[in-house]
Amino acid sequence: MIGKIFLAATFLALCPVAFAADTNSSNLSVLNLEFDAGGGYTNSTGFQMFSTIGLNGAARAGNAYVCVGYLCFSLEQLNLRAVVTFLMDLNISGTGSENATVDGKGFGFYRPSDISKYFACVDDVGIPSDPAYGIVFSGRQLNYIDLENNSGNHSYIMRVSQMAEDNRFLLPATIGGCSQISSRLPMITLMPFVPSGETANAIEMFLSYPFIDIVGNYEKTGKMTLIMEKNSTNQIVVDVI
Amino acid sequence: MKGLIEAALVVAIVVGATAIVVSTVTPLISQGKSQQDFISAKNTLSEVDSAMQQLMLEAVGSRRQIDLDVGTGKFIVAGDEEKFKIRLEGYQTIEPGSTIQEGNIQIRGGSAVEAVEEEQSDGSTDLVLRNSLVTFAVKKIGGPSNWSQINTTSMITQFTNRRTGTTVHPKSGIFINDKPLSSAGFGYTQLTTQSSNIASGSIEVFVNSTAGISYDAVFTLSSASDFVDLQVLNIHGA
Repeated sequence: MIGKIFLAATFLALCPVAFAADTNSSNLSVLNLEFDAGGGYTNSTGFQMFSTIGLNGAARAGNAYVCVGYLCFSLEQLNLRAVVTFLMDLNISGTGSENATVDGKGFGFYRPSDISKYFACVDDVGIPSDPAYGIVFSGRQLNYIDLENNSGNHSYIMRVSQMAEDNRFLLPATIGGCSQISSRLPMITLMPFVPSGETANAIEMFLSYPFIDIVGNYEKTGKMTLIMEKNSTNQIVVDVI
Repeated sequence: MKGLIEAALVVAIVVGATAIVVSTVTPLISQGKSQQDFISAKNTLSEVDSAMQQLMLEAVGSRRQIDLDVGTGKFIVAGDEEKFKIRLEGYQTIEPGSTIQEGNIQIRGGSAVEAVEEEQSDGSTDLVLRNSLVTFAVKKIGGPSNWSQINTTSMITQFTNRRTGTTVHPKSGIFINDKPLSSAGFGYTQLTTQSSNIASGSIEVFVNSTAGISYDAVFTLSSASDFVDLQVLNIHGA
């Protein structure tokens, strides 16, 4: 009997020591995260309502987690990625013949549900062929489009904001006015807003990895060996020999 | 004598027939070769993509080695744009300025884009992208090993619609999470490739912003395109 107790005690003593989660541990921390456009506040602690964060929120801190009890999700898992905004403030002639629009609407702040074609544009009917400049959303998820009259500068401020993942802005400098840009949207295949009619004599095919840092710049014809290696900072280092 | 004439006639017929066959078949062979180059280039990129997809999922230190042959085409590793490209000359398969997607491979057609540095009258240097429709220019600031103060609100120096001859000088701005301080800091601008005859040219703008967020913004102008394509990549610290 004593032998069995001694055996059990020895076994327990040799087992790895395990600790339960300890809120006083330095391994745990609580981060205050601030979310954009997360919706209303709860009545208690000032936290944003969870259900609204996932829709439009944008985290202001990286490498953070949202936890429900012991179940945690990274912001990436919750798709709470950064938001990218591009702004242009311009006029064409600076005269009264300019028009500025967001999908046929005037100055204002527009969420995706407010408009059907996601672009902001300025054109000038006073100039032959009606030149048009703008910002066209071409990414995965639009955040907002804002158009303001910068009357002090006789110019127009266009802002297009979108989720960082697969973000893409097209900046047209075309003819036919803003209506021409509108008529080409949505653009399934990237094409000129007004084709030039020139002849192509070459093609370029490519692979794009916007969220991977590829290190290396090479140009080579004929036979070669491509070497790709993932380094400690998750970059893909490329060599061509 | 008669035999000699007959022999000469036979030789003439054979030579003539051979000439006809060669002149008829050569374009077909050439066309076939072009088609073969096109398919071969696509297969090459598919192989590269497959290796990249695997590397993304694997641990640090993973490595792939691939033997490639792009013939007369040009294989381009454009690390500054996060792209692998193959350029083939002499093709008129798709509308100039258009980009089509086949799986993960994008294909665009066009003639020439100029991506050059140009001195300005005030002594500064601009990085200029130009095709037949558009000129787009950004201030040259610093370099990858020589960061300098950079502000995305004042970097675009010229945006010209060449069909109408109108030039605008827009104020601009790139903001991450709409933080005002993310638009400026230290960094550089550079052309990813300098040439006067490329299918597309890009300007890379790297910003290590005062807000503690760093990113790359890549402005690309393709041949026959009447727009500049902007993507913001490698966002860190947001």
